[in-house]
Amino acid sequence: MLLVDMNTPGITVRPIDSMGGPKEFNEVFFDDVEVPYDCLVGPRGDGWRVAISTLAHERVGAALHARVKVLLDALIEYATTTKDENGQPLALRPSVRSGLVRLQARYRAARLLCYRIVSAMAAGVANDVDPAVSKVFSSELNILIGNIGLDIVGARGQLTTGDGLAPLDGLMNDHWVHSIPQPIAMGTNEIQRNIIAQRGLGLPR
Amino acid sequence: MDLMLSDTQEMIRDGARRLLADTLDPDMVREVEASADGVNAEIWAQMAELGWTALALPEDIGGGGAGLVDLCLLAEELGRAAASTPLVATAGFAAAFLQAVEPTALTRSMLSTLATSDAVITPALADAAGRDERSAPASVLTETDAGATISGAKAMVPCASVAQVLLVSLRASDGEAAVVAVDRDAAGVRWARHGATGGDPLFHVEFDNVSVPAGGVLARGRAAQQAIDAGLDAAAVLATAEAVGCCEGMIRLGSEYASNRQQFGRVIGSYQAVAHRLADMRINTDACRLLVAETAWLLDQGRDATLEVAGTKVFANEVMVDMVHAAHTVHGAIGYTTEYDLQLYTRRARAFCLSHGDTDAQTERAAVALGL
Repeated sequence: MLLVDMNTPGITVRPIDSMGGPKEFNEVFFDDVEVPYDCLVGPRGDGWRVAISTLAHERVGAALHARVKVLLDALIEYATTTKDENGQPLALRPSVRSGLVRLQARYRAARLLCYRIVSAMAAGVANDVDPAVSKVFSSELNILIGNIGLDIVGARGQLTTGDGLAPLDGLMNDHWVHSIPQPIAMGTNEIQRNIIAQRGLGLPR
Repeated sequence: MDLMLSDTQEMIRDGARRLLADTLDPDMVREVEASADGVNAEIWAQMAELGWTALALPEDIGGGGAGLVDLCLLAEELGRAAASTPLVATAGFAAAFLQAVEPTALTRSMLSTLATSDAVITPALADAAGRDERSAPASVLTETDAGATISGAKAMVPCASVAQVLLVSLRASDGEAAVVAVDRDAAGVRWARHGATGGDPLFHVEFDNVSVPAGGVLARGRAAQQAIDAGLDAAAVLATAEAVGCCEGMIRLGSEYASNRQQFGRVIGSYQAVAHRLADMRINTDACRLLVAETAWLLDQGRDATLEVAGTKVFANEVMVDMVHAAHTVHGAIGYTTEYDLQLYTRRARAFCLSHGDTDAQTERAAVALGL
């Protein structure tokens, strides 16, 4: 595992345009790039362990549930202040009430699943399974809130940020787009489920 | 709130697990289900003897001085063992209800009885004609200068045949709700067991002009409703902990079965279609357990936790219905047989989803608490 200064000669960065915009992903080419010895992270030949341990930290997923809280507060505000064609707040619709209640409980669970990992790390008893559990739960919650959120704001939910008629200035649409890669990034949820099944439940490979 | 168990909490959990492993096996669970009372009376008596059923009651009356958080650990172990006890009704509803009403000589004496014996006090709230325990009571309390009497019928009363006292919700003559402590052996009280899916023995209880002694009316109007809510919230949290234990039972059986059963030359647990169902059960069970712990902790702090109690129940209902069917999917045909143990857990988990506030009822409570 090497740390490489991006200003080193020989590095070429090619942006990959994605649904999330042009700057999110890049292809990086290394042509005879010189890296000093002191940029080696961990012992030589042990890079995989460094990568895995870094990924385990990434999967704690703090950012994933924190984002949900922002969206949930925005949706509650929207539903209580926006009236439908009969002059009734959207918040009185059974589907809206049910959707927001389900999201709020899941937000709490995602937060607790994340804090459980942090507590275990602090106590020196971290395991591989809890981060996998948290990652699957939180990423799927992000998908869920994107879709419930779009259904709550309705037809104009497809209007993008900057359009004057976009509800919440396109927040839910923007979130929906960025939620798509979440079950794929940081190790797909299917890989996480394999980890849970094999290391957590002792199922055979 | 501490997400790691303390040494004392681990002792409670391990002690309960050991006791239940030593004293209860699946055949006994079947025998208890088929018995007239439907409860593990010996286990309940042992737990009372050890002080576990009074864990959350104050120390000055003989209780353990711990909280609902600790009681939930016990409940989860009971769920894992598919035990049927009055824990939710008595240590959950009755203890919380009696601590929420204005104290009287009678409530103090009942609390002290709960703290120091295996006595069963159980709620009788849902009218035979009503939908559930939060529906306005139709059974009536009649008060005259000579005393009070009650008449009516209650449905789905847990553990009535082993109870000493029933906490009965009634409509007083002014139209307000009232809760009355009724001696289960009083003249005019009759009970018959319902046939039911789950593990809790439920009874239809009739009150035919039953006399209520002076002081038997424990709460009225708004105070009665608040005390009922306090009792139902504690019961819902404990019952969810018990259901989490049932989910652990399903996961254990499912993992064992999927690790041994071979199809097409491989153990089925090596197929992702099977393994991932079990992984999802692990995820949702962990989420439920953490929600229960946080909610119990909030209640122990004396905070208003309507949103958390109701939201936790809504979440648990949703994921447990999925888990029940996932567990049956993993097991295939064997899981449908009664000689296999899976059904002991899945029946309990499905019944749980309908009890202690169904999804619609708890969604509405949570929505109001959320400001909707």
